[in-house]
Amino acid sequence: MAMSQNIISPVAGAAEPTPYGLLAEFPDPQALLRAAAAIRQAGYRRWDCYSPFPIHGLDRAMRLKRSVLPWFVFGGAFTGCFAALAVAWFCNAYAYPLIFSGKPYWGLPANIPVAFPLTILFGAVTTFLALWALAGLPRLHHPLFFSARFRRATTDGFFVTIEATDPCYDLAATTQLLRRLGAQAVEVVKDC
Amino acid sequence: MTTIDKPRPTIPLGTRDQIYLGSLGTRATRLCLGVGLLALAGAAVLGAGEGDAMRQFLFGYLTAWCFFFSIAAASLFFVLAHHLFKASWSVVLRRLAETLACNFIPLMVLLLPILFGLHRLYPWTSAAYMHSSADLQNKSGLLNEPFFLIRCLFYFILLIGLSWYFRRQSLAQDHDGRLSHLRALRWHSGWGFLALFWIINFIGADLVMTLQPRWLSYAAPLFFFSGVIMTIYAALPLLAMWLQRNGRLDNAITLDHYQDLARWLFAWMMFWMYIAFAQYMLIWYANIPQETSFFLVRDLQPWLWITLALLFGHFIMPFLGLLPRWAKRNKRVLAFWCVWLLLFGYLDLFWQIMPAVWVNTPAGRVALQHVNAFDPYQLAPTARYLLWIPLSTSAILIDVLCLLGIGGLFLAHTFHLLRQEALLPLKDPHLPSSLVFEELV
Repeated sequence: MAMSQNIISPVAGAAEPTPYGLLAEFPDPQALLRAAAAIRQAGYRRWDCYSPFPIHGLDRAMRLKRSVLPWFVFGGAFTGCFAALAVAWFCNAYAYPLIFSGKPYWGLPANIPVAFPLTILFGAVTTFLALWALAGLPRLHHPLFFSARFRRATTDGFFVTIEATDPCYDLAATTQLLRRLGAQAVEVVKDC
Repeated sequence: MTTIDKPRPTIPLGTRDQIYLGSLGTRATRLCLGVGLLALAGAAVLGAGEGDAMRQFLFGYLTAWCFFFSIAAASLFFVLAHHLFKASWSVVLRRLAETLACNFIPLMVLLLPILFGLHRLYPWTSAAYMHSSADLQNKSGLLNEPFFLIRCLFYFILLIGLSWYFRRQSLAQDHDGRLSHLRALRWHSGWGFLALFWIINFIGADLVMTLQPRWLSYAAPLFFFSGVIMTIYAALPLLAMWLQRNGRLDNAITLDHYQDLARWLFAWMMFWMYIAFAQYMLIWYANIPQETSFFLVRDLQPWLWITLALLFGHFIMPFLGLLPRWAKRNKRVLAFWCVWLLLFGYLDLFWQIMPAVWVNTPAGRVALQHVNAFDPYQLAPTARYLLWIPLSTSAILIDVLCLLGIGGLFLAHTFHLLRQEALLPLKDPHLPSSLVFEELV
């Protein structure tokens, strides 16, 4: 019990560890949904929900915005398509023109099979890299891992975190809000 | 996927208004029957005119028939796929697809004018033509009238049997609620799926490809198939929207179902383009006269525009239009693309069938006999004029009347069947999970 409160006790004279934010545990998905809607209405910006499985309607309750990932994918795919056609044109029609079986130097149908997989390849690789970048990966540690309670987020725990950097964050008021929303436990997570 | 967090919406199954068509079905049946019979009579009157009118009528009729055959065959595909993959999301749509699939009896009756007009449509019915070249003689084992009729009969016995069995078992479950019906359907969906795939391919080869009997392409039947299957994913959302506008199935079919149908529509539209291009590229690359003859005609003046219209209207524009998630979840936008893709599905068949009008004229035969020496600029003005015949006002009027005629009878039969039973399978054990089906992305 006490361990989760502060794993690393502040040493006298050392700088006080900055708080990451508040972690609240809710008993079931319904309570999490209600809490998410209420926290959003209270005007919080930097907060998140954690559950062991996807919960229908949670993204709507949180008013999550559509990811910008598709635009990266589109850019990557377009680049792939263009690059394939440009290289094929440069090699076959411009730098080293050769006649193959009576075909014109530059024939679009012949080059679509190259453009198609390259479109997909560039799109897929961009998706992968952009997803990592947008999600802030790779990342070796996260303050939430200091909390022993949070380990249950992958089995049977339903959590909300509100970060200390949120403009609406106030230790006493936010704790009270989370309690009022039905949180079983609220704890401060320190960022060391 | 979990649904434990959400209370199951109670659908008022007891009220007849919500899940039964009722008097609306009777009115729709009468209206469609009236329009269909009038339009068919009008097309027949125009077809009985002088000159080549009967031939033009038969070509327009064949195109319209293929279009509505597409919807019925694709509906059967939808039902078989549903059972084969043990799908649960599509349970609320299954009865509509089952009913649309049960149209093979009227379609078989409507095939009769084509069978009677075989000589005007298919050049291989002429013995002199078949003796004109060695490659045609090699095909005479396949391309002769008795075998053609036997094949048609075989296809329709299977199609009618499958569609009738799948609807009957589903209706039986509505009454006794036994699971054995579903198990039987799942068992038969395996071979039925394969059989349906090959039947659609062969019907494409028999009815469409043999309009140009000398043409060779292994991809052509698959190309026909890809266009066929797409139609149901455009027709089903429209039918569902019409029902919901009239206060039926209001809570049962949700935006999540529409989104999934739209995704399938998108996927089949992509598949159509994939096969279309695969066929075109291989023919372009191999450059063999027997294969290029198909694209030679479609590269000449009026048809080139339709070829390009298909590229843009059947692929590029709907690709961009249907790609965003919101477009698939907005009923008005989705309805627009469904109508759009149905129109282009018809244009696709038009493009496959109509140039054959020219191919089998003397000018066309001469041109295609020497494909390698063919020069479109040397084409005599009279021969060039003949290329435009299927696009003349009278021909297009016949096409539209045929489309309305066959479509009217097709829909009249559909509504006639729909009004007899509930609009969704009431006692399917997966109905509750289909009702609360939700997309996570």
